Amino acid sequence: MYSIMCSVAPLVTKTSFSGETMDEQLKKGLLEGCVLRCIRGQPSYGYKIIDDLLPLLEVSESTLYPVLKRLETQGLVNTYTQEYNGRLRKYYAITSLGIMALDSFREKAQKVIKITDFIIGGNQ
Amino acid sequence: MTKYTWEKALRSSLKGVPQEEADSILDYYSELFADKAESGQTEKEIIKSFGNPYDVAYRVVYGVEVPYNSSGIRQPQAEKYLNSSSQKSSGGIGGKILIRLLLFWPFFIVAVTLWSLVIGLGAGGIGGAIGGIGMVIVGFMQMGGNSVGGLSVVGLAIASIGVGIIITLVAFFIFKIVLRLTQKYFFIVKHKTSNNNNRRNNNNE
Repeated sequence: MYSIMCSVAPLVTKTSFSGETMDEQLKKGLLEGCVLRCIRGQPSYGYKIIDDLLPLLEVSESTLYPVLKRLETQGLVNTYTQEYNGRLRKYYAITSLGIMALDSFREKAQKVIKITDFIIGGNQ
Repeated sequence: MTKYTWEKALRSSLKGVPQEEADSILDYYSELFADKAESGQTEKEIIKSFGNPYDVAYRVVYGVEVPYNSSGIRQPQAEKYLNSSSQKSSGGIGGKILIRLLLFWPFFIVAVTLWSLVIGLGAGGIGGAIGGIGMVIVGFMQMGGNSVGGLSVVGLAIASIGVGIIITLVAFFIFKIVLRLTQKYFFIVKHKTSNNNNRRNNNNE
């Protein structure tokens, strides 16, 4: 199961396991997929992304920041600022490379779902 | 703790992080703060939800949870990590700038050559003009004994002043161009090296 999860985690980015627990690594990988999914339809901003993700998984502001930064560095996400209520707000928009990464994530996730179903079924 | 003191503590915890990155993190939190306040949360609630600024800095920079032991005390490696972060970006501002400049050595050589040309021309022009003024005085003094010799010295001196002024103007014109090119050079060096660092950090992950 660990190796399956490990294969899911770095779906979008190259990551290592040094100094991180499996949960952290898995969460990182899933979070990247979740963020890309959040901004797939339209650009979004930090607070809204966290708000959209909260029903799914526990995510804090400090967890999200490195994920956004990483996605931006890898060219999966573009950023721009726009005025809102007299202040500037940073928006994150998915790039064509990001869409490709999300599609790849979905394909691999499907495989993991099959295996997970098998494991869950095996317990019954 | 107020918003101001929290942000101040966060900035202080990000001491080892490059300025640009630290500003980006603070902007991110400032925006979140405003969004949370607009959604109806109080300053106290927002600060509580963000948590300890040191832990926030650690999580944001390293992307992992701060290691605490069973007694709730931060483990030494957390301190070590943040210290290593500060070492990464320290090493002397002068030394860092020089390393960055030398990384782009062909541009560095061109820049040094152009600046030498500007300084040489400027010094030559100003020196010629000042020397010319001196020669005018000497020429006038000589005119008392030898009017032809004195006059020719004055003529040469005036020519020297003219040439000096022209060279100084040319030097000033080149100075403006070289200054603009140098600014562009610094801009490229700064951005190229920060992009490379980002890429390196990313690969290390």
